[in-house]
Amino acid sequence: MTVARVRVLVVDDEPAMCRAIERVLVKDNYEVRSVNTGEAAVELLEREQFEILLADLRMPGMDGLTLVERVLALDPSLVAVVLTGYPALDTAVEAVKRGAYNYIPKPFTPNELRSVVQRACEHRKLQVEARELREARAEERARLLAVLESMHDGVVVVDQETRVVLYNQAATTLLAPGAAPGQPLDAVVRDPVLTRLAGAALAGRALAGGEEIRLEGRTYLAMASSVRDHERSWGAVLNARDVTPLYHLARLRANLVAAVSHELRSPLAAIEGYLDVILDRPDVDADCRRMLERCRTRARGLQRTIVSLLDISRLDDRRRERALIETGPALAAEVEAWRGAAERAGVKLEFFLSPGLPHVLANEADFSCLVGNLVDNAIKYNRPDGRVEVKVWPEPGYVVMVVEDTGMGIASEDLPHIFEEFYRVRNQDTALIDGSGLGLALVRKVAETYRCRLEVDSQPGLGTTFTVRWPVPG
Amino acid sequence: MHKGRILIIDDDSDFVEINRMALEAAGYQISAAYNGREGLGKIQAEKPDLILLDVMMTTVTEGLDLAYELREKEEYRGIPIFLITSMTSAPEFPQSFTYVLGRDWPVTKYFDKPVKPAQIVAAVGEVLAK
Repeated sequence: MTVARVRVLVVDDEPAMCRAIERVLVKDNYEVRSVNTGEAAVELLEREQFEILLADLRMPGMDGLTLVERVLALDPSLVAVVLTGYPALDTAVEAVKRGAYNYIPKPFTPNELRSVVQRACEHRKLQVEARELREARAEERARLLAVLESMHDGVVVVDQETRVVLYNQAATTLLAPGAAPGQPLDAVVRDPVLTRLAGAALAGRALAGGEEIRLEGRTYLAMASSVRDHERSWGAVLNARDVTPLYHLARLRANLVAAVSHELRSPLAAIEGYLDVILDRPDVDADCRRMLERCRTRARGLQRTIVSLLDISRLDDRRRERALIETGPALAAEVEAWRGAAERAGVKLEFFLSPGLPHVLANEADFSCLVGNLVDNAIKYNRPDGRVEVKVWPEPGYVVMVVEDTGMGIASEDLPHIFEEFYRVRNQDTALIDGSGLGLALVRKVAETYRCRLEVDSQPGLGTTFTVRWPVPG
Repeated sequence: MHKGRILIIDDDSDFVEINRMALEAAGYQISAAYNGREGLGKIQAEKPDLILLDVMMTTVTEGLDLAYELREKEEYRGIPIFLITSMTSAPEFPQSFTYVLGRDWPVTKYFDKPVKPAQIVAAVGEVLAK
């Protein structure tokens, strides 16, 4: 391996001095060139690369001071050392001020020369390394900024005090015009939800799923996470994605489901109505009556399916109102609403309420949808003289609601699927039970919406227990 | 001998037919109108004992407009009216009707579609038996 030798340019109007220096340095393995005028040195430096310049200060034509200035302008990384041939310390100091690294007063010994040139070499090495590091850092930062700028998502970074650290081009739509780093986030955001998200992330509470915000007719999904560096958090990063097309699509779907459902309901109500009238007549023979009754049952089932479909599309709307619900009375009312159905099915419906229940935060219709579907199933898939127990009690952070039945139970191979839309357990026991296949899908959807924990435990032939842990606010 | 004359005003022909059959089977004489204007004509011509009125027909205010007309003439005052609403009609409809007809209108009942024909027959029987 050959190591590139350090190249030294010697400039002195005395050829003897040049040769003397050359002899010393070549022996130390430097590559040395020498010229006798400043003009010749500049010309050579314009063509060739040198690391170190040794320049006599007093020369005819271009003097050493001017030469140092000229060559440092050509190549700032060149290390210049001046040789002072007579006691002109002022000029040497001036040369250092203008960028020369050091000076050697003449006469000097070979060792003095070696020592200065060696130090000049080290100086040069350090300088190069520092510059390379600086350049690498600047390049890395520029790359990161370029990546940030090219993102479609708006990104805003804040520090521990929720002050803006930086933001990208896409984030300008989220901030007030002219928002600058250092300003408090709440003073520059156009939607306070962003400040809330950032606050939650800084407090270590990441809000899964993010929040929707609407600005100037566009919809953004905003999320925040804390920025960690060696396990220490120094801020939070907010990102907001423009989900307007997705949002429109979801709205379209919900509207379509609603429109189709309404269109289906009226003809179905008519069918049911005609059947009611026919079945109210005494002159319908027994066979026909049985078949028509079956028709009516199926029509009613279809009505319920449509209502469930409407409920499901309603749950997709994130803007629905939520209120604090008194858990005990709300649950009692919902259970009471099913008492008639339980009696008709010959099932005993019991309700056990613990004192000291906290409120839950929910849309009332969602709460009753979840409870109602569980109770409805517990009655429907029960046995005559069976029992349904609804129990509720508080647990730290949760209200626990349990719906337990003494019904046919669910086979283990069906259990993983029962919360899927339109999944129905098909067997001899369920053949005559009208179900939409949407009840438990709705239960799951409500549970997901409110981050409830939903568990099911079932023993075929003995019964099924659904447990819902509904989170309590605060 | 029929038990009473009932006018059904609804643009939903199925609703009209279902309730016509149910009420006829229960011994009432039925006539039907499919919009507000036609309904008013039949009220004038037939002097029904009871009216089943859908609040929302082709136009949203058609039922309400009819209520205004009824209030104007002394001879119509006191005809029991059953108002039929549905989940697509605005929730403030019942109040609007109470406001238009006045609180002292003898009988106003509200039914939300879908409503069982048997329920209507029972309610009609209750009102007309008096």
